[in-house]
Amino acid sequence: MGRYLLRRAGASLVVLFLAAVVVFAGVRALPGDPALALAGEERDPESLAAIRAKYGLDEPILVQFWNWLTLALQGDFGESIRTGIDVTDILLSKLPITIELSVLSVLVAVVLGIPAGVLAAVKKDTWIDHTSSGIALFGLSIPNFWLGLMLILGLAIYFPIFPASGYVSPLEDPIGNLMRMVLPAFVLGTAFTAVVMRQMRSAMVESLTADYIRTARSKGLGEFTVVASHAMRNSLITVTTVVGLQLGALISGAVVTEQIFVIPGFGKLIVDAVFQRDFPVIQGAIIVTTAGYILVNFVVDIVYSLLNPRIRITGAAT
Amino acid sequence: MTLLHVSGLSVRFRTEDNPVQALSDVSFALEEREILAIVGESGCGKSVTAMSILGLLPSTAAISGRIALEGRDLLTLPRKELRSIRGKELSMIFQEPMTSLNPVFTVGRQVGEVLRHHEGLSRRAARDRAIELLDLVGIPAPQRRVDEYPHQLSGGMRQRVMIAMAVSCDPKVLIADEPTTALDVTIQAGILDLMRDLRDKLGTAILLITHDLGVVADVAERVIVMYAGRKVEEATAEELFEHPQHPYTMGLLAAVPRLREQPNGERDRLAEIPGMVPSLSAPPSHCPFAPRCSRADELTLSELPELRDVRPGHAVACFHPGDERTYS
Amino acid sequence: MSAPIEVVGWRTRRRVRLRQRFLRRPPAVAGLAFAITAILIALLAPLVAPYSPDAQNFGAALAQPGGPHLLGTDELGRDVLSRVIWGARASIQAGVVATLLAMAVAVPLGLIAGYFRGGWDPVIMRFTDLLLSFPFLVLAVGLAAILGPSLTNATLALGIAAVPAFVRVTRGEVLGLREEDYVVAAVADGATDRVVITRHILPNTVSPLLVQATVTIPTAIIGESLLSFLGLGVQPPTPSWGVMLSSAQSFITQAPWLALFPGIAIFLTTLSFNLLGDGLRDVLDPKALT
Repeated sequence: MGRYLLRRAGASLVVLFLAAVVVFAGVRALPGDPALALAGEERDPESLAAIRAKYGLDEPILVQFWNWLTLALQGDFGESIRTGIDVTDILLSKLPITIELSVLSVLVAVVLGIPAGVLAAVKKDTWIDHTSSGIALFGLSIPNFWLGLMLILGLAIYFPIFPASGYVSPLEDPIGNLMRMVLPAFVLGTAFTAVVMRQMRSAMVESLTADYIRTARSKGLGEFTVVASHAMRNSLITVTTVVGLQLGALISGAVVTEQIFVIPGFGKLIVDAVFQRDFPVIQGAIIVTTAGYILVNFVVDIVYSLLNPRIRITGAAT
Repeated sequence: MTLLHVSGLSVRFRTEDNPVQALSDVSFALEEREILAIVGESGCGKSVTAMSILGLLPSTAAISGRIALEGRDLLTLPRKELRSIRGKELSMIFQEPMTSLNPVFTVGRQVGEVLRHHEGLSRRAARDRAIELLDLVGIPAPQRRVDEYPHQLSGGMRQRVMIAMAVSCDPKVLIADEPTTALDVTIQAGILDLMRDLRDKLGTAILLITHDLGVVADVAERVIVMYAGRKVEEATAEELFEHPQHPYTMGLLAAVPRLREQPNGERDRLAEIPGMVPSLSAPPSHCPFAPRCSRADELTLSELPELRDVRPGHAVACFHPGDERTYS
Repeated sequence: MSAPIEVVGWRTRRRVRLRQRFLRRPPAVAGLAFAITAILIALLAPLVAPYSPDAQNFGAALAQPGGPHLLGTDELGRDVLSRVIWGARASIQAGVVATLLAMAVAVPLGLIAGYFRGGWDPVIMRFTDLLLSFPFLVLAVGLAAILGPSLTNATLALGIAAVPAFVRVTRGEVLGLREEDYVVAAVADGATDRVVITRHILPNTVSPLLVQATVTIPTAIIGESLLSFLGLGVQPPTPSWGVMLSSAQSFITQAPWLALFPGIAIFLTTLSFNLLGDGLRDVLDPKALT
């Protein structure tokens, strides 16, 4: 297993490096002088010269990349063009908010999606299956930002149960924090729940027709043991991978969810930075998002290999 | 004494396109300590027979008839009672040892699970017993193997694990569905020997399902030949090999390879049975073998032959039974 | 030789059976019907829409649904129904073009990776991993930052985001097909790569690619409306469902219908493609076909 994880870690680092190249090249690919872009509004010759000197823009491109990369690796992404605040500080202040939102919505997805998927598979082709599969299809088809608007309209405006928007730190006001997180977490979790449910259903349908399930039944085990122990363990292995791949969609979803519920997280930061053309912030945010995504996928790989004895014991790659 | 009595068993599958009549009116009895073989080509209904005895057919199957284990009708038994019989009094091993074990659990856990479930053994005791059982079925170094996963074992070893699991509660009946088909020829004999040994040691009656007449000749005492979901012949193994009555049985026997030279110096050619197995979606109302049979006439093409005894203990469903010499 | 005729017969029979299987699934048929309707509405928007999507009528601003404006009017008095109809153009264009774009890039890559293996396979798969490591919105945001926000760039981002999935589907399918006996036999018979690929491999990748396309189109439709909602896609005043929802936000209490109808339009369109995709998957699933 050690070798397998080492190989995966190596692959992740390669991808991260390539991502850094793309992000760096992206900003350099901007039409015109990158100093102009980095300067934002302050375009007098002195500040342009200062920026060129600061970012070493007069040096060869590879040297520039190396300088940028070494700084980034030390957690130095420069300063925001808009506010002059250290980009790393901004990212660190926004990150916990988005992580909380994401974790809550994954929780929603797992708590709702896995039982629903198992139930639908066990009751395949009955009304239970049709209903939960139908709901999942709705969840998959509904644009989450619209769902967010409708929930604000229904549960914050017409029936003011939840606050419509905003964010309070859980350290200051845990209950207020949760109340403000319910709708966003649900909105962000909807499509994810649907995906988890559908994947779990199809994995379970496949597991339940497997030969080892027939064996388990022939042993006289109760249907609950057969489903919960023999079939689910195998299905979870499949679903884990798919869930990992879906986390990218979760990050995209967080961007728009934060926009709608006015949550000052990572997603809102990125969108705002794009409109303000705050390139250091965009670069830093994209690199950190990508690194986070790769890291989470790596964790998913570890979980996957722990669940799957084939990999845990022999290190086989399949 | 009769342990398992199957009578008038019919199974029909609903499918999206056409219903399939997998079994039609099959009856037989399995005696104590007996090894009874069911033989036939794929699709003849032998596996369906096994699965219906264990109550493991999918819900798309409509079953009728009676399957009695020591007088209890398994088809009408409440699910809970059926489960307490499965794996304890009635157990099964399958054709695919590679996929029949759960890949995510250790061998020991899967064998021990039966004991914990049926005999209420503790985790510790189940593990100890699992090691004994692995030893019993001839797995070397059972102490080590007990903690291994299925993918670490060879096909033959996995089939031995399946057998250990099946005999762990000392069952009355062991159903073996093509237990050696997926294995290398060199390993097949070992598995068959093991099954015969276990019958001798534990007194388990065995219902052996196979397409391989070599396997039948090796271990079976009595044989049932099935064709297109029907029983067409039944006799002791010796009798069947010596005096086959049904043309289909003869065809099967002629298809067994033998290295023997003809008087003219040529090798024996393998005989094949011409034609194809009839579709089970539209079972004929006449003898199902008629389209492939050299003895077919108007009668065989219009009516269904009943099973009747040609000698004591030897039944055949054919209008024109008898071996090549007596017939003609 | 009658063999080729039999093959044709078999193909036709299979097509007939597939059609029957499809028609036996009402949700899938409904999905297909609605998807076609949506495409027709998008194409025929100038004929179908009761008003011009840009015609402002301040006298009738924020009119409730019903009356001359069936779905009401927005803050500038523009007819919501007409704007929803015209909005279908941007969404469906983005969905279909992004999918075709992704296929144009991904299918050859998947084919090379799966058929020729060798040195290209790991390179292509790393490239796919790299694309996958950018969440699609980050990709779109990056593109919008570099190239500026527009429908074309949004479509480009959506297309790029869909490439990895298509590469994987194609590669996986081709890998499997390569091992098929008839392909091995064709290679052993001395068939050139071109013949093997065009005659044996590509025709058999059609089904999985079709299913993948029906998954990608609704994803891209939602993606387009999302980007437009964020201001990274279609720019106002061009009608688009995402843009409509974005401006509806400010009037959510006074005029909730402004947020309701474009959302329903997106929902129904994506739902219809998803229904169609699920149906196709069931019908084309080779496991269900034996």
